[in-house]
Amino acid sequence: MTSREVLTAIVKDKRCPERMGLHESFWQDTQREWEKQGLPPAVNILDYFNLDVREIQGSLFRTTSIPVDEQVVDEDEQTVIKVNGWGAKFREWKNRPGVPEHLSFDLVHEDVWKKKYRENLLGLDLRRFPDLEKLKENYRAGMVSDRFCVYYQLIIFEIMRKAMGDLILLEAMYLSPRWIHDFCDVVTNNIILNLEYMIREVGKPDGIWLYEDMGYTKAPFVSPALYQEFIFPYHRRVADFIHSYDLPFIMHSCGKIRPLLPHIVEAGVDGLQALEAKAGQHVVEMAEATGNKIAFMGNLDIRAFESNDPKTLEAEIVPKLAAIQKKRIPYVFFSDHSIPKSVNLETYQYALELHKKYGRY
Amino acid sequence: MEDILKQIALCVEKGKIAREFPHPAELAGQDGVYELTQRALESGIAPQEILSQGLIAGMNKVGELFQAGDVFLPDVLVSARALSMGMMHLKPYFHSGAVKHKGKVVIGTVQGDLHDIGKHVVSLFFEGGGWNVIDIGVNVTAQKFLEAVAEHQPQAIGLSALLTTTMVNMEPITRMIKTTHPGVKVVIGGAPVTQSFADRIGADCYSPDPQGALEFLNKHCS
Repeated sequence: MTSREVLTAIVKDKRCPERMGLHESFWQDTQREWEKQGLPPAVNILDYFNLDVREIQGSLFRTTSIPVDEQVVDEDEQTVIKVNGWGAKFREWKNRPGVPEHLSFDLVHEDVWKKKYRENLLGLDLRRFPDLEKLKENYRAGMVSDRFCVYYQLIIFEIMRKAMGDLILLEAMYLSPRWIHDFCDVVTNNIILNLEYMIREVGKPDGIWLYEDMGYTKAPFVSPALYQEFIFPYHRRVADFIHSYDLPFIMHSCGKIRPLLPHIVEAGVDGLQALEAKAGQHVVEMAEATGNKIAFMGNLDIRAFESNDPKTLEAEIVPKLAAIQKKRIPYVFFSDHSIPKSVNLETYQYALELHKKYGRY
Repeated sequence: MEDILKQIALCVEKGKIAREFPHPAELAGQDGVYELTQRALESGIAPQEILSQGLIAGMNKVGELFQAGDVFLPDVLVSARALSMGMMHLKPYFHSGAVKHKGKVVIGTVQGDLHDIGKHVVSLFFEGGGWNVIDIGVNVTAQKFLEAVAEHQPQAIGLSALLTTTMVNMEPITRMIKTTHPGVKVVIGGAPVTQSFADRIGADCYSPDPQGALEFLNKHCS
C-alpha cells in the first residue's frame, strides 16, 4: 500500500491497514546536527526516512486580521522582536526554536476588535495567499506522489492566542464572553472561506491538518465546560466543512487534552496528533475511551528518544505498539511532539527499525 | 466581621471582581472583592486580617482546587484579578507597614528560555499567598539572579524552565546561590522538571503545581 492508502485507511476510515502509519516532525536544527552524524547534506528529511505525510507548502495562508507576515521591529545579538498582523509583539530566538516571550498585545478589548480587526476578516482577501502559483505547483507535485498530502493551518484557539495572548484570552472567556464568541465566529468563517478558496482554485488534498495547542503538561488551558461553550461549536463548524469535501480533519494539540477528548471526538476530529506522554496520556487508554472513533498519532515519549539508550527506547515503543496492534487501534507512529537535536540520528534510525518490526497490524 | 471576610474569600475563589462584573452568574448583581474589601476597612477590620482571612484564604482555596484539577487557568486568572482589587485597597497599609508580606521571592525564567506564562501564573499564586514577588523576567543568567538576591535579600528564589534543553541551566544558578547565599531556598518548576532532577541539582523544592511551591514557601521560608 502507498502512504496515501495507508493514511487514508487509518485517519479517514479509522481502519487498520497492513501497517501503522509513519510520520514525524523535526526541530529546525535537528537536521543540521544529524548532518554532522552522517545524514547526507541537504536531503529532504521526510523523503529520506520514507515518512508518510507531506504538508503542501504555501497552504499556510495568513490568518491575522491584517494579512501581513510578522515584521522584525527590533533585535539584539540573540533575539528578535516581531510584531504580527494583530499588533502583538513577541520576542523570539534568532537561530533556534523555542516558545516566544509575550511582550505586548494591541487586541486587549472588544472595542479594539471591532474598530481595528474585525472588518478585515469578513471577506475573501487574496493577500492572505503570499504565492498562489507556487502553492499550485507544490500541490501538483504532492498529489502526483504517493504521499498523503495535507493543507495545514492554525485554528481557532491558536489564532486567539496569537492575537490576544494567553492571559487576555483566558480571562476574557469569563469576563467578555460575547467578544470571544464573536471572534471565534468571524475567524472560523474566514478560515473556511480561505480553505474553500484553496480547494476550489488549487485542488482537494488528502486531508486537512490544523494546529491547535490547547493544553500544557498538567491540564488543558480551559475546562471541558469552557471548551464546550467557546471552542466546540467552531471546531464542529470546521469539521462539517472539511467532511463536506469527504476529507479527514487532523488536529494537533500539545499538552494534556485528555479531559477534552470526548468533546473533540464529538466535534468531528478524525485524527488527533501529539498526545504528550509526560502529560500522563496513553494512546491505548485514549483509544479505549473513544471506541476507535478517532485515529491517534504520536504518544511515543520524547524523553525515551532523548535518552539515546536503545533499551529505554524499546521499553517505550515495543509494548505500546504491541497493545495498539492487539486492540486494532488506527495509529500513526510519531513521537509525542517533535524530534530535537538532542536525539541522535542513530536513535531515530533505531526507532524506525522498531516501527518496521513491530508496527504491523 | 467573620461574615464579610468569608464573603471576600468566596468572591476571590469564584472570581467575583466587583459588582459591575456579571461573572460568575451565581453572584451577578452582588458586591465583589472591590466593594467588600472597602466595606471591611470602613468597618474597622484590621487590614492584616482582611489580607489573611479574606484575600489569601480565597486564593488558597483556588490553589487547592487548581492542584486537584477541579478548576483551570481561566478560573485562576479571574480569581487573581479579583484579589488584585482587594490588594488595591490595602496598598497604603503595605506602605505604612500596617500590613506585611510573608517575605520576598525573586522569580525568573532561566537563561536560554523565553517562556513567561508559567512564571506569571506561579507569581499570581505567590502574590495571592501574601508574598512579595520580584519578577526579574526571562532568559535570566545566573549572574543576574545573584545580583537580584543581593539587592532584594529574598527568602527564596523561583526558577522556571519550559524545555529539557534549558532546565539544565537551573543547576549552575542553584549551585551559585547555595554557595553565596546558603539561607536562600531554591524552588524550581516547569514542564520538564522532575523531583529527581531537583534532587540532583540540590534545589530545595520542586513542585508540579504552583500551590505546592506556595505551601513550601509558607512552611519553610516565612
